[in-house]
Amino acid sequence: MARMSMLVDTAVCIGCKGCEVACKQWNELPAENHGFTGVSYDNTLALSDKTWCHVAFNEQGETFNTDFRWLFVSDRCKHCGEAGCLEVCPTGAIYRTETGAVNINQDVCNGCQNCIPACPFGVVSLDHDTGLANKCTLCTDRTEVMGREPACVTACPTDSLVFGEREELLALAEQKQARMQRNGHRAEIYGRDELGGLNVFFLLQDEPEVYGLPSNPQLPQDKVPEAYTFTAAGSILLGLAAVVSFRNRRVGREDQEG
Amino acid sequence: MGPNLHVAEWPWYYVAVYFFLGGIAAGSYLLAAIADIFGDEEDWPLVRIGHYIALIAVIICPILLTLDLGQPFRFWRMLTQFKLLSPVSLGSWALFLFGLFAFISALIWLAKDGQLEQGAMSALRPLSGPLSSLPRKIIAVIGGFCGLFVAGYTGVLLSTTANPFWNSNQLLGISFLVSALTASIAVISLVLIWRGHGNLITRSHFRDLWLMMLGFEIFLVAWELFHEGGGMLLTGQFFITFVVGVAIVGVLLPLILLAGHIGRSMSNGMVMLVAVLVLIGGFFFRYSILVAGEEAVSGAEAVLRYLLI
Repeated sequence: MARMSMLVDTAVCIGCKGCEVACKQWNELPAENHGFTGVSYDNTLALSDKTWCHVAFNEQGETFNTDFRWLFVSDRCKHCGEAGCLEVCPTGAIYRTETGAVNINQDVCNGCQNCIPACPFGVVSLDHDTGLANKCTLCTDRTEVMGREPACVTACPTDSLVFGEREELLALAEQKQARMQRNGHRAEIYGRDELGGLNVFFLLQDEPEVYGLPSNPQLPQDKVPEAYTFTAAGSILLGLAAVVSFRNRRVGREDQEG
Repeated sequence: MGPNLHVAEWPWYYVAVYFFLGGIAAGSYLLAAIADIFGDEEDWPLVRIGHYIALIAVIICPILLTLDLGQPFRFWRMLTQFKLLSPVSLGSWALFLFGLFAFISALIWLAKDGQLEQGAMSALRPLSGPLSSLPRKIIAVIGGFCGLFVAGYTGVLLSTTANPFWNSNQLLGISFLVSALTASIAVISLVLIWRGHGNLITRSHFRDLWLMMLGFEIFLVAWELFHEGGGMLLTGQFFITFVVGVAIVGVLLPLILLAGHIGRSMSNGMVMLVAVLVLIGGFFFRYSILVAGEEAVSGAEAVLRYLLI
């Protein structure tokens, strides 16, 4: 099967939170009591075990000024081409589906939580009801079994969310980017190459950080060889010291006796 | 504004205590193995005690790790995979293998001491023949390498996450390993004194080894404080747990006490004091690193940073 992706075109997002609601409905995720945050019109603030899709509200410029603008982004698991959570999972519960999504098998996960700090986007969450890790599934039950789009994409009224074959979506993103730039707007594609290509990638109108995305996300496991090398080098040093210490004493004692 | 990173909710009373006990199990085994292979019969009380401590500590470790799981009865899932780039996967295997070797080594020494002939363990008496024919030192070498991994992988596990506090220090693995060794010498010393073999530590080269490792540790503790992001350890509760508990009480003070006795014999009381200080430092090292990493992305300051955009 072809690699499937989702394009998030932030330029046409109107912040309706329809995707957030559709996700809750389809995945039977309960409401959370967020309280009043005072951050723009967004009380959700972040992804969690009960919120797999979140529309972030960013206000730029002074209210009542002409330069004021909203920057919305519909955020979810990026289903990374090289996924830290998948690499670290010690039980094999995290797997890649045949269309390229990264999913967590709830029957295999044992809740060790190593995938949670392995995610550079703050996606994977601990479900306190089951004790297991969970996150967006890219609706693989809909896309791979039923031949439909993810629930959030179906609900999106402005086509800010588009689902399809990755190559076609990349071409679409480039087309949109060129049009925006021609009209004097800033437009960047985020997630084309990052972490082996994100299966949920973005057309952004500002720096990634403005949208709560890291500008240069790294695969945590890239550091594994380096970290082991330092540890091994140090342990050779320490081991030698211990060996010399015990040998010297034995030799010293043998000299005394001899 | 960066991403709102999530933290693993690893309670310190399971995970930091496991890091500490796993380090002691591995460190004691390593020291016992090295003393067995490179020392002589006079080192045997140390070898014996090291192996017994390793066995007791390694029995508690998997219990803590299992209780920490969201679904404890699925702990065995860890041993269905073997992933080279996943420290937690390799660590699970290393702990499993290390536990096996620690068990065999301890049994060998029990048989050697004739402990299987009497009392509660006499049920194991038929084993004493086969046990004494096992290649003790070869087992100690393999077990020692597993132990080395067990003592160090926990630091590697933290420094290969997306958490900026942990992944900015690639020396966490070696830091945990050194602190495991100094804490193991502390436990072994306490038991040696308790069992009447205090002379092995009060007047010995073993103590110089302790001093040297603490000297190494002070650099790693300083690096932890002064590397990018380490400044967090100078604030809040971490000033008490890390600066006071680890740097001053756990490393600097023992270093001064030991250095003051170079070439001289040390009283039992003084060795015990140093041992207790080192153990306090060893625990708070792991506690501080674990909790500070969690607070770095979820604490009040991090939330405020997020809210202010």
